[in-house]
Amino acid sequence: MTIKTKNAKDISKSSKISINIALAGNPNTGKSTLFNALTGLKQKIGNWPGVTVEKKEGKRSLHNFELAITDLPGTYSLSASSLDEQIARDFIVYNTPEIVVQIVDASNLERNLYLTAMLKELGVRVIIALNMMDLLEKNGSTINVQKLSKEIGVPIVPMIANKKIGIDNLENAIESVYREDQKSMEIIYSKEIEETLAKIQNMLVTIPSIPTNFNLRWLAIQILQNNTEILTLLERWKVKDTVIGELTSFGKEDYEAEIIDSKYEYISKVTSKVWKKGETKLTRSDLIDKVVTHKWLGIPIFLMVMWGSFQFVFAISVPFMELIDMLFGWLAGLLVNNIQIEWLGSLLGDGIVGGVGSVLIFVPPIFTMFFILSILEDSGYLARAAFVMDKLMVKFGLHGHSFIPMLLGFGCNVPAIMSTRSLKDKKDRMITILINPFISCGARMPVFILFAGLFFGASAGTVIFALYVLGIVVAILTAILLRKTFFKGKAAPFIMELPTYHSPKLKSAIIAMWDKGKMYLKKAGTIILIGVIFVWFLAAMPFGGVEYGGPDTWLAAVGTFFEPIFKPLGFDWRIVVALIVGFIAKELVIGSLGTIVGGGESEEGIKSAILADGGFYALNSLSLMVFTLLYVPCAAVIGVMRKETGSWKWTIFSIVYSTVVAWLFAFAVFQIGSLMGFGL
Amino acid sequence: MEKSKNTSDNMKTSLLIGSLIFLVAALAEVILGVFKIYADSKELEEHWVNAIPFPPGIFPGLTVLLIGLIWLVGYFVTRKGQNANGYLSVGTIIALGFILLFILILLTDIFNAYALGLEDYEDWTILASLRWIIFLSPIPIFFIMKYREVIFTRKKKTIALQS
Amino acid sequence: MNNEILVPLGFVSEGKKVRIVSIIGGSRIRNRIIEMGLREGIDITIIKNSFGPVIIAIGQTRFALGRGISFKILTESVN
Ligand SMILES: Nc1nc2c(ncn2[C@@H]2O[C@H](COP(=O)(O)OP(=O)(O)O)[C@@H](O)[C@H]2O)c(=O)[nH]1
Ligand SMILES: [Mg+2]
Repeated sequence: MTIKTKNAKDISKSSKISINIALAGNPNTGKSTLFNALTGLKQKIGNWPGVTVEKKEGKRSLHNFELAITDLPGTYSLSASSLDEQIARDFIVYNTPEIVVQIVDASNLERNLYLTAMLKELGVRVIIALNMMDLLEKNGSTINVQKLSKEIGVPIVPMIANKKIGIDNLENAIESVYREDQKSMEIIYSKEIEETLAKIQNMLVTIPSIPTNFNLRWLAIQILQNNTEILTLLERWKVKDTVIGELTSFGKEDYEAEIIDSKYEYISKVTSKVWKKGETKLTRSDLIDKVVTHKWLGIPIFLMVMWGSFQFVFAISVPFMELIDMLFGWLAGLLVNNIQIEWLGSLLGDGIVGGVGSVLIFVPPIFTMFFILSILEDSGYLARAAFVMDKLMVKFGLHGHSFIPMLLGFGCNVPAIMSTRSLKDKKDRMITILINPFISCGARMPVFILFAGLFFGASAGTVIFALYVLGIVVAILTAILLRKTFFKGKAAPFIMELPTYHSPKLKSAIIAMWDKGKMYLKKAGTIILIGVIFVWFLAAMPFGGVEYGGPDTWLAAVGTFFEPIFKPLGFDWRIVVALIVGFIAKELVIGSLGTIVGGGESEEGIKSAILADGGFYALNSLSLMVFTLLYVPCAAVIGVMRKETGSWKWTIFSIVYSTVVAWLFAFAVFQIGSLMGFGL
Repeated sequence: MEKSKNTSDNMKTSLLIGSLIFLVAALAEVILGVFKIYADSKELEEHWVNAIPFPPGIFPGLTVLLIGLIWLVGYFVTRKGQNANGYLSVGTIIALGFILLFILILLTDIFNAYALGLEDYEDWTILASLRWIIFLSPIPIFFIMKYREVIFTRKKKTIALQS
Repeated sequence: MNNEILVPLGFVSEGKKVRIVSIIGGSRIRNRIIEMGLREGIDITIIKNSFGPVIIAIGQTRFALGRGISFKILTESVN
């Protein structure tokens, strides 16, 4: 790939020259810290095309330049063995950023430089931000920065990102690197490999469908490493057969191991001249790890931390939820009673304000849940939770890594499913995605709280706890089932870097809470709002004369149509309607029941309406809760599943499977309960 | 040498005393907590367990128990002559975390009851939200003051590995 | 090669310092491990090896390795 030089198109209207910069680096090197320091609040979170992995972009102005900074996922390499790596590599190959700033952890130079070697091989201009300089001295380690920079031909800026030290120098480096070309880092492979590379390159030049700006040496190396992604790329250029045909005549083998080794050899040679490794000492982190991963204490500590987190979420969110409930109840009543045009008052009051209110009420617990998870992650404890659960997960054909998405699922299944992208093994990842919807997310909680509270009195807490356990049990059984059928084989080996413990930063927890919570707000403003209006519409139609939400409306017609299927679960048409609407989002279940049963303006209203109704009792509300727990969480989960599995087949499988499982369990609960005399 | 031996002896005593107090309190709280659940489920308002001004809870009791156990294991680790700083730190940090959590819950309860006037809080009094661990807070606070260096090392102190 | 016995990482006791001699198992797995910095010739220290995954240190970095993989990494002791 030739290095892009400045051209006219880069000059934006503001007459500032835009420089595209990508931030790359190993996980836990301080990438997010540097990104936040560089862009401040000028950031935008989107998705990478085709995948729902979070993509962060931000801007910073520098003299007459505008830096457009993209945060790449944290990776150890660019060999595209996981989705993260693939995204990072594709961004560099296709979006051709002018400069890649690689954050390097100074205390772990050798491994970090491996990524540098890969970046340089791609032909981009690289600047190394040598971070965590403050820790270097403490470890008794030294780096001759100037010499290293000379050896590898890359400018190096020492930094302490969390104290914002070194940012100016980084800016200067960006400006000067932008102006000049950078020579490549010459890693010479064995004679055999070099000869083969040359032959492949010669062949590639002659193929017209390969874009001219492609770095052919890099492409040839990828082909030699038998990189499956690249083979698909060749397919797209319709040259795969030609290339593979030629390759066999070169006597192709798998050269990947040798290529990796050669890179490390080169790096060790360089680092041996400039780097004095620190001694490995038993640190405070290690001493803490001995306790939190202790044979007997590890799991109890984990459970206590979880219990404490849930308590925290409730303590913080209850007063806010009550306030929101009061506010929206009051507002809805105001609209319904004061707008003269009756249908409009009903749409605005019952429909929109009531509906949106019933969604916004969950903002406090969801935000606090994200807050506490971010604190746990930032402190370093989340990685230890995966560690502690590894032994258990192995029994289900998974490993510790799959545990983090399950944990995140208690907040919301959407980011939980996204977080599976760091799993390297495709089968592990599919299983982890497919079991996630059974982990009860925050949105299902209100249904449980309402019905358990109404019909189970003092044992409400136990009932809710049992529901969570049921969700986990079904998830585990599903994992075992999938491993025995569609995804045969063993889980990939469990290897995880354990970050050093840090005291978590309030500011970054708030940023993370807002970033993730925003998605929920967006969901409330789009899918759920549309769902709410839709329900209102069906509940008010046909026009004129019908009682809103009454038995003569279209809504009732839909419910009555499906009622026979749900009769054995103890559901009448009204519950059926609520559950159908619940496909869109669980938040709508209570809202739509409110619409039908009445008292829809506030939770208190719904409660008394349900009690007065007579159609709800302990047993069918238990089967309702079980059904709600197990069937498809929401439309957003369907969407994210489609994107992350890349397959409609598995998405539909998940929808059908979970709905059938939900039906079976609810059926069992209702029928067994009836036999035991708990029915009406 | 003399000095470091002293501190490790000190820590040994601290861990033992701290863990014993926490374990005794925890057992009492968990056992009384079971009685309370029983009394509540049978709606026995007159039950003697309801006469305790600070209601015991099973889960809060279990946290106290766990902290006591962590310190106790730490004590046995010091007896083997090994470094127990991790046990002291983790136990103290968890204790502090839960004390702060229960104070926070106490504050939100006060808010819910008096500012919002929620129905669920009709019979509630401040005493009902005073968790036992709050009364035990002098111990972790003492540990933090005495062993600040160990628990919140600002300067990354490292210990040579014994091979 | 010297004639010392190679010990799988999973059997090395806590506090010991060892050198990775070879990683057995499929090339795909081996390559991924190596890319994370765990490669032949490198010295590692065992931080914890008693229950569940093994914790090892390479310089200032700590890794948790599942028990399965820890038996596929063969080591020799270094003095
Ligand atoms: N001591 C020290 N810590 C740092 C430095 N830069 C970042 N950190 C901390 O390292 C941790 C990981 O940083 P983060 O930005 O989340 O890393 P990422 O995983 O690469 O995004 C955070 O707790 C930061 O506060 C630094 O220069 N020195
Ligand atoms: Mg980050």
